[in-house]
Amino acid sequence: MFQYVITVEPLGLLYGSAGAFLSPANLVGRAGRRFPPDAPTLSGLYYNGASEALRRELGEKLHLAGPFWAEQEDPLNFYVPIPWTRVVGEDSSDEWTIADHHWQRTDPDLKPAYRWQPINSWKAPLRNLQKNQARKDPWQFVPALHPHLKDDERCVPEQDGLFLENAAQMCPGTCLVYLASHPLSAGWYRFGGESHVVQIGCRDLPERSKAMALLAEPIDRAFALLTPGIWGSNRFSLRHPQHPDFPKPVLMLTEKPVPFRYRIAEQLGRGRYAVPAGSVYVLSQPLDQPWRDWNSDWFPREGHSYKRWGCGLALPLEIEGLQTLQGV
Amino acid sequence: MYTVFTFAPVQGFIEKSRKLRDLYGASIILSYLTFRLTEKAEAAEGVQVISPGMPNVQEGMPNRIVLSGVVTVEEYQKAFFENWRRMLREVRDWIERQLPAYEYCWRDEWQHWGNHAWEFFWGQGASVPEAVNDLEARKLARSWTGINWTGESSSLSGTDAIAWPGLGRVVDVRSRKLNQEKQQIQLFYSELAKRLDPQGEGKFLAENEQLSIPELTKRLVTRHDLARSLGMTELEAGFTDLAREQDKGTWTGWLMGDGDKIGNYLKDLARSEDGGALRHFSEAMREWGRSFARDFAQEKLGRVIYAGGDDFLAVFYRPQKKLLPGEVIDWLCNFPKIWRQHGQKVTVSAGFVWAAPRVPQRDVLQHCREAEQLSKAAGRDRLTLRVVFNSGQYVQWTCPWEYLKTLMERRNQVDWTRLYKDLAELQARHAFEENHESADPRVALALFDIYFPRQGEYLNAHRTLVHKDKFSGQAINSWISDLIRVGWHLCSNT
Repeated sequence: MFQYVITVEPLGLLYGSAGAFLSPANLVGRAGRRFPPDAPTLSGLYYNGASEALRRELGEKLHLAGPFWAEQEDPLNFYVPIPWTRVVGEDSSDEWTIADHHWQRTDPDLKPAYRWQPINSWKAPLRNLQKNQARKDPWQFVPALHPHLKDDERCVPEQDGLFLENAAQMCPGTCLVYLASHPLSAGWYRFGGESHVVQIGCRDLPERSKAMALLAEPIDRAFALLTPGIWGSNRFSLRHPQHPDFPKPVLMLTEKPVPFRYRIAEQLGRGRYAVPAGSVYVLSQPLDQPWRDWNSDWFPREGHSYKRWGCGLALPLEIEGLQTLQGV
Repeated sequence: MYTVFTFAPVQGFIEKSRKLRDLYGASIILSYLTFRLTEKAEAAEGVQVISPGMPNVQEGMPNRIVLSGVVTVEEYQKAFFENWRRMLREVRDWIERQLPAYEYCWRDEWQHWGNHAWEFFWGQGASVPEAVNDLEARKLARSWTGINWTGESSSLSGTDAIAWPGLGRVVDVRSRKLNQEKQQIQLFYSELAKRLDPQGEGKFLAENEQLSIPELTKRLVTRHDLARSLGMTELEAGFTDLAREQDKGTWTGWLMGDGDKIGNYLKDLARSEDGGALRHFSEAMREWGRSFARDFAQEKLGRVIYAGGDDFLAVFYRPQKKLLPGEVIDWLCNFPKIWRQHGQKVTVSAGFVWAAPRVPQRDVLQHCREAEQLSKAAGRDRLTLRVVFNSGQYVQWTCPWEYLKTLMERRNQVDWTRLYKDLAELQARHAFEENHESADPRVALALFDIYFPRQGEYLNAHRTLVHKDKFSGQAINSWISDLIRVGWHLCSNT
């Protein structure tokens, strides 16, 4: 399904705010920080200047997934969220295991300090992550002021003249990464809002790459989310798929929901709540299939299934003690 | 048999706020929901409320309940949601009564919020620690259900649907006229604002606000008539909101804190006997919260939003006379004495944010929480002072409470402007490295010594004052330059 790696290299700052919070009365809007952009944000670039036929094709078949990030010289070994079974702290690390049908860990006070790991070390021992592979967010927020000038004078109007944006600045040498089913022409694009310009690159994701092999690996009874998981009906968002074919989760490691909403071609999608990336599911029965083969009916549908946006993209996970847990 | 109950979201519920009134509303609702559960437990035969202590007092209820005896969890869960639904019903009825001309299609949406606004957690065990562990294990999987929405979002949180009479009307998406809808929403809110506040002082709803169902509820339960009919704590008569976002707005101070290692402390207490020590602790903390709120109000520096368990939030502001940061610093230096009044062996970590007038309240609360976390990370029993500007930029400094007093009592002898200039000068000459692990702290310590006699020497000998385990020259350089930046902003105009 995913054959391309799309890299997004900022030329300057990137848009790092959720629009709704920003108003003249609410200048800073730190609470509205939202970065990196979810996969649907990228889709608009595909339609730019596409032919009618291509648009139709994209409308039916385009699949995206992300956000991830990478070091610019090594985009195929992109960074994905560390599963929450692994807690990588500043000086030590810890792991959740299953014992007696419950989650357990040895150092409950340890808080995670690192959020990302390279996909190629998905199965690496925790010790290796701790030592040299786990990373923090490679961006920081910087306030950027956008003055609106009067038409006939070089000064700011008295009302609503200033707009302060929570821009995001990527660390030098890093870029955002998305997986895609379709190629995207390399070049400069406006991306994410407030006219920030990025350089898009597009590379093949080779069949024999480690990432590809992982994505093709069937999920047994445990998996972790690489992207926000959206489940439920049009009315409610839920923590796991409700479809009768989807085995019931017996254990989960997750957190509070995060809002998920996108705007495409002036159309504002439904506001939903997502299970945050990194969440871990342990199922009563094996699934025996990789995410790409999951039934698209397991995902909510708004015209198309949310599987198109790579929602709930999952990789198999090994958890100590899982075999002791009986199916229900 | 012991049972523990709690519910979520608590932080998020409090933080989604624009006005001081919202903070009160959120805090009152949380206390009320706990209060009704303890009330139920008190009335039940063979059930004892171990925590919170003083179960008959509604204000400042912490949102974790420990009961002993045989308890049917489902009954309590049901009662919890019934109380919440009753609150929503009263608020909805009030609006529909005030504005009867509308055709209301929003009943289903209120019901959804009645069922899905909260995650309710419980745990049981043969001892209190066992019950708490059981609860923590269940919490790992969470239990939320999100209510999806279409159309524009609440102007306050940026998520969730705007509550208005047409919410829930079944319309074909393609025939939906968003512009028309927008006008109807605006009209509804301007009429609602008039009803809430006939004098037009903008107390309840500002012109451009469009709130979601829970946000509207938070705001409306601060009305006396609604609070009374629900049996909730009423906002006192002289309540005045903060004029933060207007041009005349002044700087305000925000203090958020909580007891250190409370979880461990409670586990120790619970282990010792049948919950008696825990009950005693809980009573002591609640009693402290009550007197803290009362005494703080008497000092006329601001007010306490909540203080009940081991955590608290207080706002420093004065509507009539400008509040000087120096007054607040003096009060903060004295705070450890106030904290110790509860007589428990628990220290406190806190974050104090001195916020510029246009920094949104939601952001201020996030800054408070981050500042508090910094105090914890540096070794606890500390205060972090953070000055936040309108641009969103900030400066901050963390210090142990006792040492804060030592330093700040001399602050009036210090020429902060000169000290600030000296710092800039030294930094320009690279004599004040903050970026290298192996940085030399001697220049910084010498500068510190000049303005705070003998303190450079003292600090060098007691490096844990800076951080519990970062003793590098870099850490000292940063600590001293942070002190100078924060001190210049907070102390130079007193």
